[in-house]
Amino acid sequence: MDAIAGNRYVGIGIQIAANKSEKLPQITIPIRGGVAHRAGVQPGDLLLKVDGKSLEGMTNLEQVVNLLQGEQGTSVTIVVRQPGSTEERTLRLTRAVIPFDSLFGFRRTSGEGWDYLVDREARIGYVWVSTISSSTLHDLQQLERRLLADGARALVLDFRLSGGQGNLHHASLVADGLLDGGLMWTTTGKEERAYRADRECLFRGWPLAVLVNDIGDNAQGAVLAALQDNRRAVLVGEPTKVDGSIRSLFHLPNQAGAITVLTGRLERADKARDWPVRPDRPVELTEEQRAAVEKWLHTKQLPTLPPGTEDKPPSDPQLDCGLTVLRDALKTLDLPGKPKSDGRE
Amino acid sequence: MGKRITTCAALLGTVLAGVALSPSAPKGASANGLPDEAPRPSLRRPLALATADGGKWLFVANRQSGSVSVIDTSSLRVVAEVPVGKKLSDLTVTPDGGHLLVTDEGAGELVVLRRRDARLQTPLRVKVGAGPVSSQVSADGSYCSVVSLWPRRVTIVGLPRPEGDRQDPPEELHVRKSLTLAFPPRLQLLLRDPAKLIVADSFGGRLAVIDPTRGEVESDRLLPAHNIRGLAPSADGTRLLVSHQLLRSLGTTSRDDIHWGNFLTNCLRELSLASVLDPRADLLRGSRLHHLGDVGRGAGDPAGVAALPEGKAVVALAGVGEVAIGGGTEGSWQRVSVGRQPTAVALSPDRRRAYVANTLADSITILDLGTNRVQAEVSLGPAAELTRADRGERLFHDARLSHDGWFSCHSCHTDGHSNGLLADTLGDGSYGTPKRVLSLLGVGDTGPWAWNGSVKELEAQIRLSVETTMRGARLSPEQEGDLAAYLRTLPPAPPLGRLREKPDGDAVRRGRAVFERQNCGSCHAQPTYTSAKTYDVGLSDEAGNRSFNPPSLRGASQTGTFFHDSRATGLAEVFTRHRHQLKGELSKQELDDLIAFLEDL
Repeated sequence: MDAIAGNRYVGIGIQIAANKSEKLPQITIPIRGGVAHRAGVQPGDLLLKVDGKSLEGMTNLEQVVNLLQGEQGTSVTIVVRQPGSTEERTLRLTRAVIPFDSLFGFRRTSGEGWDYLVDREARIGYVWVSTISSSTLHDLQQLERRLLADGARALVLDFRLSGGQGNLHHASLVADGLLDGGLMWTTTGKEERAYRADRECLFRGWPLAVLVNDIGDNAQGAVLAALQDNRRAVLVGEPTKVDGSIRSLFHLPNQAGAITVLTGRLERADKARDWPVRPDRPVELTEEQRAAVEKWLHTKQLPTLPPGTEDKPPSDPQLDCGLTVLRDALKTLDLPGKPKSDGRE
Repeated sequence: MGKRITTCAALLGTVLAGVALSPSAPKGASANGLPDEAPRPSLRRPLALATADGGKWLFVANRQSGSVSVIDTSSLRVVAEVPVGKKLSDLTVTPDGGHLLVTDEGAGELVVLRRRDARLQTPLRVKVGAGPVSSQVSADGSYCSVVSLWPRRVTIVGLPRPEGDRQDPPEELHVRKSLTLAFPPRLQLLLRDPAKLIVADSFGGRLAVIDPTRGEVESDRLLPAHNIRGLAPSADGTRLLVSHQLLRSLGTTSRDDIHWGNFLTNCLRELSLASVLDPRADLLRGSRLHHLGDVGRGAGDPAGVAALPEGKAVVALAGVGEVAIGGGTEGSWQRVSVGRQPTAVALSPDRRRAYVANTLADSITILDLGTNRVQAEVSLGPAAELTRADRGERLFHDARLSHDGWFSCHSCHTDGHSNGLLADTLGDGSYGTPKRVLSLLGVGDTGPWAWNGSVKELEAQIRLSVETTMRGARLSPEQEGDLAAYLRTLPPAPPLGRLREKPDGDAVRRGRAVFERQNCGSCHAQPTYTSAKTYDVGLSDEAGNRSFNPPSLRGASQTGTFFHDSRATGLAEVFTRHRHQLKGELSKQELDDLIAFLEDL
């Protein structure tokens, strides 16, 4: 688990779930660009055998994961088939470090990459931050380089449906990365600490819009609060469900599982504000719009589009509002690089 | 290191006394490509480069041998090696090519040599304060500026007129102006138009702009940076390229954070020169940060920079023995292996070649910038055998000691001193408790080590640092011993009080009495001004730790901030704001005297 949080997971690059009706583990997502994806594993493939051992009736996923895991460079042979098909495929895979993408762009490109520009004319980028892990700051740096090469000058950070790992350390690195100095938040309880951002800042001088909805992860909530309290981004969407609590995971003896315990609280940098984090620009979605946006976001994690689906963004008033906010900000922005504004010829 | 340098300097002294300064290669030596006498085996440690005569000659300043090597760039051979001083630190050619300026850190001198072809003659020397580390020449060649590290001094020196109107008696060098900075400087860049001098911090991230004619500091601002080791204008003259490292105060030394570059990254920063020159501007306005390394391939210790067209650059990566070529709008970098610890980069005038000084390999790599391939590696001469401390020095500067080559010991303990920042390591037993990086100058006899004083052997501290701070492979006992041997050669930083133009001996004597009355010596005990125990002095870290081992006060004047978390930003604040262990009130006079005493340690 620690290795997954650290995004240095060695394996074949799949997410699995138990398929109750088939009584088999099922590969829900072969991670894009991962070993399994490249070897031809399809989303939905049922996992029949691992190194000759039948998985018939095995729905304890921990056991399955143990069979699949191994040292980097070692190989594993799996047998898979699509549900409802009898055609079995045998694949030999070499375990490697699997990158879990935490960032996804606006549109798929023909290769394995993403097009991050949502508005070419106004040069606005878009990124879905699907989770915050130890690699997210790094991924944002890569994104900045890409967006600079594309000529972008503003960015929508979509935090909707973002599944957090509750890791305040990773969250602090991301908030620090987006902020140009300033107090981010303070913690009370087990650790008494003022979290301050360094002056190094990604997307320096760019207007940022952050799309939020009812996410409940407090570490992510801390990032949103820090961006809002430091006036770094305009938050668009619906109120979050974060309550500012800090919970720590404790493992029980004799492998009896783990429990989370309240160990502290987050205090916002702006004392006038409290939890949950609320949008600066409230925009609600209808049930239909919400379902379509959720489907659109989830689909981004699939290595390829499911047959019969189009990579077409749904009707999304929250994104539209974010774009309007950014277009307006760009009109009035004193942009560095403008010859007049910083005296360069 | 002290001992070896002394021997070396004595040897050169003899040479200089006996032969004055005759160039060892007569004119035409490039025909056979070798100097008259076979060079002695020695450690040279090249660290500065300059070309002359349209790129025909490459001059190389050698730190350890105190000599200047001359390479014929067509035959790619060393045609001369001239003894110049004790411990060279920089080298510049005047715009007309007639003179070579060399800073001698060992002698505290600027040395000006008349040059024709590969020959160097008639040195003029001028004292410029202890430890000159860099020099720059004005566009018209009428003056140069010399930066001295520990005295924090910038000296403007008038230069001899160009050859042609040479006069008798011979010219002298005149110190025109001298000013003091608030930080220990190293690199500098003298701009042509406007004529401004940019000076960078040697350890931390401060950047000052100076008017060299008026001798005034116009601005002194802070970059989120440390270990600034490259400073160059962009090819179009609108940007300032700065190579440095970035340590995130919220990053930790966990394997994950190091792996993803969350703890420390290696950068080339482009600053808008307009923002740099405007004292009221935000220094970072319009800036861009390039990350030179990436996951799996850190770019430890970026150093010398040379600008290429289209905003691109060549950056030496001293810790990993490579250079990075690229940048610009696209921001992608190609890496090429060169020799051990490349520190300086110079371009041929046609920008087709880059010359790279491999300091710890005693060689120069020639890179073809058309293909980005190594054309040749030129050895500067036969090498002497390495001592334990020499091997330790190599390890100290080797980023491959860390996970994926992200950083070396030198990255935080810059030149054995400190980058002045807080680092969240496991040295105190937990994360979330960042501590000030301590100087290693004089560290050999100030045990125990670590903030909590838990480490009794220097070798054990080295082992711990490599394993839990750098997340590198375990060192062999041999390597630990080599590193310890190197650290034991590092003397404490020279006290600022003694480097001032007028040291105040009376104040120091009175300050000693205050120190004794306040019983400071019970924890900060002579001769190292520390002691082996830990004490609760009313300070607490984020995890509630209260007992710390007192840092040595030797070189305290060269430490920017104080206490475990840098909460005091100067020696005065230790007493005025934090009242550190004071018994009763200190008068203004007593405080000044106490500081004078501490600045003399």
